[in-house]
Amino acid sequence: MIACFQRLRLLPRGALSNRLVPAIIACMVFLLCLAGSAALILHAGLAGFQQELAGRYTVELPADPKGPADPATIARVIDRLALDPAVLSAEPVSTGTMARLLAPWLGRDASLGDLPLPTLIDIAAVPGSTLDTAKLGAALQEVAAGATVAPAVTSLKEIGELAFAVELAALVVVLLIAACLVTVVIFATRAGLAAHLRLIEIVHQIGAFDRQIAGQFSRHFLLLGLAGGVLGFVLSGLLALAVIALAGDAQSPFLPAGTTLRSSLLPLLAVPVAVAMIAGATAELTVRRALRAQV
Amino acid sequence: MVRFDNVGMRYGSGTEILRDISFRLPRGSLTYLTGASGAGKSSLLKLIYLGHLPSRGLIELFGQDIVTAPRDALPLLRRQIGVVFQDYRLIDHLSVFDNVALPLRIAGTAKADIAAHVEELLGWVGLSDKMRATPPELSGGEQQRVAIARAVITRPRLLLADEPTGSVDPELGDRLIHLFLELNRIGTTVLIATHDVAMMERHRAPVMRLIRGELSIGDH
Ligand SMILES: Nc1ncnc2c1ncn2[C@@H]1O[C@H](COP(=O)(O)OP(=O)(O)O)[C@@H](O)[C@H]1O
Ligand SMILES: [Mg+2]
Repeated sequence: MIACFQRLRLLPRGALSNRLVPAIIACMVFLLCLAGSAALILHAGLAGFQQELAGRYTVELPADPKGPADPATIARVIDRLALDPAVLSAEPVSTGTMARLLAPWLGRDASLGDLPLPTLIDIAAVPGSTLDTAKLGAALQEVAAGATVAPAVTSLKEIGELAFAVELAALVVVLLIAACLVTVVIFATRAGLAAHLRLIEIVHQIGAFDRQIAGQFSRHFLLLGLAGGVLGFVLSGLLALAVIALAGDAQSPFLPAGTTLRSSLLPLLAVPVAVAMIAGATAELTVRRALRAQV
Repeated sequence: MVRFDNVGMRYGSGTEILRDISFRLPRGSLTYLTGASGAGKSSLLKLIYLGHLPSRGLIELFGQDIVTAPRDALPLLRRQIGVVFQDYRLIDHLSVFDNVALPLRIAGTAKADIAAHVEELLGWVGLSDKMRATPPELSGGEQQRVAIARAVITRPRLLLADEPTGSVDPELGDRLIHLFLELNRIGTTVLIATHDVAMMERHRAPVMRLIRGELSIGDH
């Protein structure tokens, strides 16, 4: 019985709400997808960054005014490090890498040879294990006096707190936009329905059940919401593709391997689906409320 | 078929605009409901077509007490009542065909039956060549015939018409009354709200008269 009723196209094709509702929803979905992808990238980036730094330590050999530390000393230090079962690998940081790291402060063309720089040795720990930096540092004194061992970032905890604060801010932005989106969907749906109150009343009077009428409207607005949601999603996807094309989807220094704009957009596919469902449910509830006001 | 006992009606929390209304419409009868403008004719029809609940009293439709009936039972009762509204209440963006087909679609009639029924009835009211037009493209009289076709397409047991001759010329008005008489002859109970005295004199039938919200029954 209901199937037959639904064959009828009860709602006008050219109605203003047919264009307005998807347009408004598309804008909001676009914004939400942007904020959401930014938050997801940030989350993945920070998590990866932390994870990467977590297993890294640096040995610092004091600067020698006579020039770089001699290779024999470096080799002895690396041999000594290899004895520690928690050490996965140890490699001296090359002068090229040093130059790159220091470029922001010294300028690209600075000659490092003129500077009394310490020698750094990068240690990767066996995943899941922690180095006893004090013990290792004491042991190193035998082969290189003055050598110190420290986690790559002295204060991993601080970075963790910063990451948490940044992610919390991103989450708040996403939640605010999501709240706006839900509100807009509800209001746009209601406004779209207001134009059809007479229609609802007539169909009701002719003997339609509430569920027949509400079903027509919820289906209609579900489709409008889906159209707007997909449009907004596609627009934000296009923007992401444009960014990829301009910047290249290359490995950003801040992002761990495998984090790309492309992969970050996928979970956001849930947004247009959720929006469509909210629009449909709002239409269903609003129509049922309008009908309950009648006999 | 229709039974009112001491019915009162008010809009919102206003005063009662209908008081102590009691009457019966026997099966297969044709009755006029008359009274001055504002006397409450449209409101009384509204009670019958389940567009408003009484503030007191008993209303029975087809033997069923509508005040105590569950809400879910009302649509099936409404489908047995055809209403020609004073303002027609057609759906402007649907074609004449779809407007008239609407009650059948709501009732879940098979598609093939719908087409046959609607085309036949539109032929009968002289609108065969306007099936694809929309109501705003029609004259007032044509719109009214669409409204009547929609009201009778499901062969309702009860037909209500609110001032059907109010806005059409006398000749067309006469043709409408003949249409109602015809439907009445094949068993439809008909109630016509009107203050068209000439019409009531040409086609005699029992008259219910509303005077400031109260009913007096008798021949005109
Ligand atoms: N929807 C409404 N809300 C409030 N008052 C109404 C409404 N419809 C009609 N009335 C009032 O009820 C009274 C009867 O109106 P109505 O039934 O339309 O009379 P008639 O059809 O005989 O002209 C009038 O006083 C009118 O103002
Ligand atoms: Mg009236």
